[in-house]
Amino acid sequence: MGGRKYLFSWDMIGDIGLGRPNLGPLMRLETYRLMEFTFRDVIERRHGTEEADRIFHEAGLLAGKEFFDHVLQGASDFPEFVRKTQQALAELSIGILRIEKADLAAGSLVLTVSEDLDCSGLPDIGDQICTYDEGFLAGLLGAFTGKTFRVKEVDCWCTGGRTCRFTADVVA
Amino acid sequence: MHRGSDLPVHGGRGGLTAGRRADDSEGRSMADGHDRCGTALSLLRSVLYDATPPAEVPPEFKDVADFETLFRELMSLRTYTTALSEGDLNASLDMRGRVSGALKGLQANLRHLTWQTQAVAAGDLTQRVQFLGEFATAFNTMVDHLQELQDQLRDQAVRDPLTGLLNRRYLAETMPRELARATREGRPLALLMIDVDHFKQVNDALGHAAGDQVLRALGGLLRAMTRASDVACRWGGEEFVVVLPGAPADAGARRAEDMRLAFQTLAFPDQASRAHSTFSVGLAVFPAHGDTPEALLEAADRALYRAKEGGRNCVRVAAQATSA
Repeated sequence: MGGRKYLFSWDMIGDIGLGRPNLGPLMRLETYRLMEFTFRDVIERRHGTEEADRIFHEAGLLAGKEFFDHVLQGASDFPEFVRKTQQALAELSIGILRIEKADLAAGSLVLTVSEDLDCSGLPDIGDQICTYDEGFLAGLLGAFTGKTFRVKEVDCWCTGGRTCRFTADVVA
Repeated sequence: MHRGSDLPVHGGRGGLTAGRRADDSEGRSMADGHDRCGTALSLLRSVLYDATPPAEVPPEFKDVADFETLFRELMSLRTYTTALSEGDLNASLDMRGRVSGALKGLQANLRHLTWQTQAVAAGDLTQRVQFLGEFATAFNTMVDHLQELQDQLRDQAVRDPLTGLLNRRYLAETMPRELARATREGRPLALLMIDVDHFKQVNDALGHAAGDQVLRALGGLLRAMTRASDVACRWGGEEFVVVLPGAPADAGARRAEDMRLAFQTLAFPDQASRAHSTFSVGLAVFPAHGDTPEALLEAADRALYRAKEGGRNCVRVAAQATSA
């Protein structure tokens, strides 16, 4: 697409070893959430809640595909995919992934993410807020299976849960 | 949420502690308030403690804000925890808050544990549990043990017990992979077919124990003279196959010759009449002599025949494959 300034590529993650020889690759979670929720605030203010959720979902979907391509490549079967994903999400402090049910033939999964990067510890606001995670998981599953998934968060820290629970179903 | 704050008891108690003097009407009202409060508490206690609590909120409490909601949530909690206690992990709880969240977290862990156990049952022995303390230790020990057992069984299935070398089944599984890799990397691969000379005579003259001694010695020699990337197998009887990935014909022949020389110097002091043994080798190389496992084995076998015909205790390289 011509004229795009921020077309995503993995190169944009940068050479962190070169760029941050003293501070390294880690930062505090508050910083991540500060950026995420200020983005949300401004996007919601300008485009409304539904559109803000759609944008975060779409960004998550893109991130999930890119993450699969660059971090999880080589998973040959579902157990290996799960294992690699669990390991990567834990190592990168994104969350603790657990599978509750997986029926790949029917294209249906139930999974949870505990200590989730986006929401764990937030106030109970009565709404599931992990739309970015929904997109991210849909991106991962889609990249692994080659199918399109609809991922829906059914329990969230922000609705009083202690772990975020997602259903994932093939839609195409 | 201020559940229960609209119950009359608060007003009633507040009135009494304030020390205001009540007239008859106020007294009746307070008494009524106490009665209703007592009934409400009994109702909620019943949900928590009794075997058969009331299914519905009594009509007189329908107008008390949030009381019916609280009652229904406690009933849901009761149903949910009963289901959990009976091992039903599919129950749902339409309720928010800390207690609900903790119970859903427990359910999520138990459901994940179920999935992990199913995965182990399906052969995925990489699963490890990090929940339920001692159970996790026991589960993980069990899976470690299963993994060890599986490794042992796998090893037994592909290893020849007499010589300790890999067996024909392993070679059949490995050859297509080795040839695919050789093709991908554009590298040759040498295959040696080895046959102990006059082995029948050893068995006939000295007995099977003496024959086994020769085979074990050859197995040990091949293990010692092959690299980790090589594949040394007992093909059957006194025949052995050694695969040397990356080796062209000249290197393969040199290594075969080294093995032959080493073997003929091995001493069998118990076998007085035959203190030494020898073998013959047929050598075929991918891709010159064949590009399938079968073609290579056939080419090596033909070369081995020529070695036997040529007087034994020697190495012969297969003739160049000719196009049909």
